[in-house]
Amino acid sequence: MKRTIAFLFIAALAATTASAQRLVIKGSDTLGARLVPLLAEQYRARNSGVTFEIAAEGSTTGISAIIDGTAQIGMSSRRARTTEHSAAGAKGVVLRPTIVAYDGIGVIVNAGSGITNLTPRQVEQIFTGDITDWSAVGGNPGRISIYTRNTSSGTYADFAELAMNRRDYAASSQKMAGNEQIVAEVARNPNGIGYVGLAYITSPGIKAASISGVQPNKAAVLDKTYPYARPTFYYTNGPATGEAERFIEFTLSDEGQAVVEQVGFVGIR
Amino acid sequence: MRKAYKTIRWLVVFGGLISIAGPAFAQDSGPLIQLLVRKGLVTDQEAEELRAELARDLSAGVVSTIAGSSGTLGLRINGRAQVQYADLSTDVSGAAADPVTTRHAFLRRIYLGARAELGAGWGGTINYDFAGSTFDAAHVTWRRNDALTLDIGLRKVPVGLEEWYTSSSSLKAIERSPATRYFVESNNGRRLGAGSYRIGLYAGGRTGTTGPFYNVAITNPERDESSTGAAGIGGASNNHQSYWGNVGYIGRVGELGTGLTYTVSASAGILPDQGGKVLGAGDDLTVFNAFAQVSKAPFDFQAELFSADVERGVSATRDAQPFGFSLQPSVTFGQFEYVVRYSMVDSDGRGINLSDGIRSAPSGGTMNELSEWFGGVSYFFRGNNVKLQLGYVRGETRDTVTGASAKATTSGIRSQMQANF
Repeated sequence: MKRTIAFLFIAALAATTASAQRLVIKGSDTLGARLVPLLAEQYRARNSGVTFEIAAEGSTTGISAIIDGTAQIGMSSRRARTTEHSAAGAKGVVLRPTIVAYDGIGVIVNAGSGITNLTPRQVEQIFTGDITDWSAVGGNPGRISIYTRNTSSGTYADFAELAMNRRDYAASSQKMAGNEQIVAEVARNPNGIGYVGLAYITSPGIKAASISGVQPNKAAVLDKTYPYARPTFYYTNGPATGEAERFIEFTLSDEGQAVVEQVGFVGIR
Repeated sequence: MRKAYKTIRWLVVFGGLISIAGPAFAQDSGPLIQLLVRKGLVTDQEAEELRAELARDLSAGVVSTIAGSSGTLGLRINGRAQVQYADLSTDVSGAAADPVTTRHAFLRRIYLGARAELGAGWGGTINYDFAGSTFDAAHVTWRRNDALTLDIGLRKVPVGLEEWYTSSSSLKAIERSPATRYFVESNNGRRLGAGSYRIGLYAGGRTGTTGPFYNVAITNPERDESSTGAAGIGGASNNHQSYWGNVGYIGRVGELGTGLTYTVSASAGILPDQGGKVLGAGDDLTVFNAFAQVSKAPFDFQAELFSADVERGVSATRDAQPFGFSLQPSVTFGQFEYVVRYSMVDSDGRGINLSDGIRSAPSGGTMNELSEWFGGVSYFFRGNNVKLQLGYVRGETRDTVTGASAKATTSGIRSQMQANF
């Protein structure tokens, strides 16, 4: 009997320990492609024994994972929707946002394009399909090819809200899995246009257009003069606890924010 | 001190507004929160927590206001309006007079529906077509995971690319092909009624956005989506259940959005007492369907094949094995989509009218085969949600069911305006 109790105690302790040291983070590709893996790497270097499972499949999946209880941290590049708060409330989950970085959504064109500046109205008209040829916005004649993120992406929703007056994307727009894919397509296509996070706007083959003369950069994002700037979030079920709390603290620390800046986002301070 | 006073004044005003206006105010509070941030009265993080709290209040208000029951977690209202104009004339070879031309505008589909989430995987769906006074869907759903979803009630059986796999809002050629219509539309002594709406138990699942999928169902044998039919208790002619099975695979080569995607699928249905020329005589019906769809922007290609074994489908001494197929390439340029479709049906002596395969076409008499060409264009005002479709239709029926030479042709235009919400 004693042996059984001892075994069960040790097994329970081992399970608890193992659970505490495994951090499941799901959600935004914007955060999960580069920033969070790098943060996890540095965090792990200081906290041996902690393992991470990071799945970057779009903000929607991150918020759903918090609601379903399948992740401790949900990465999101957009705010949770009312319907998501509703679904969370029904399950007794409280969606709590923590701003971890700021990001600007840069409108990118092919490096060889004559376009250097667009107005917010022109951006809206291009991405909704009202304008279909570059000549209408002062570029060389050519049919505009629009590259967007897929519909589960927070950036997809944010851009529609920030830049398109919540209108639908043009039917001809092509949906890409992530920022890197959009950069690759726009770099290949002289008539391409797309949008990516600040971390990607200096990629080879593309350039970012200024918006009414304002370049997407750190200063413009911080002083809120760049129109397509947004906070990015970790979502948790109420205040984070345990390893998740410590990882969030690390992300918000000077050290963590240095990583934020290193990968091209704008720190929160 | 002065700043503190201003801060308190702003927060008091803000708090007062929230308490007075409640959830409705929460929805419009974004600009005010931004103002507080700009004035430095709250930090960005505090603003986000405030937004989240307001969103929670708002969501609670919405659910309690529109939900039918306290356990409703989510409720979605949907609708579809399709207004169609058809101008189709039929010429019967050798006939002294041709049938009356169709030249009319009409409501094709007026759907209003709702879908509710009830928690723990349970849900309910209702969709009613006011244009046809028929149900499009009315079922209870239980979803365990991607691999298993159960529906109990009225919906479409898993047969047919155009009929089951494609929503009527997404038909590129406005109406379904003669092959689809002949095999799935209600039995009229020629058409088979071997698909579409049935009441029963359905199960289906998939492994993900790509990969294999399956569907099985046990249903009433007869197709009847009318209010009275769907609520009826049946009789001797339809007391035996039908069995349906479907397997398929969705594949992708390359990136989502730019790569090539394909779907292949095969289905079968066994329908007791649904064969013969007249239902309820103890004659059985078996239907088979296979389809493939390949898409690589801006191109799309669909192919579909139907066949059936109809016991005493021609006469008391002869079964029928009709078959039909359709081929449909399409291409999209910006807001325009161009489509061509060829479809044919061989009724194997059972008979087919032009109107059996081509909706609203004047009938040209019962013959053995039907073929149709359709060429058209869709213009997307607001994606698929608001679109105008226009096409030219030319159909031909040939030879009598006994093999004598005969021909009737129908031709004309069909146009449809759609709003989907």
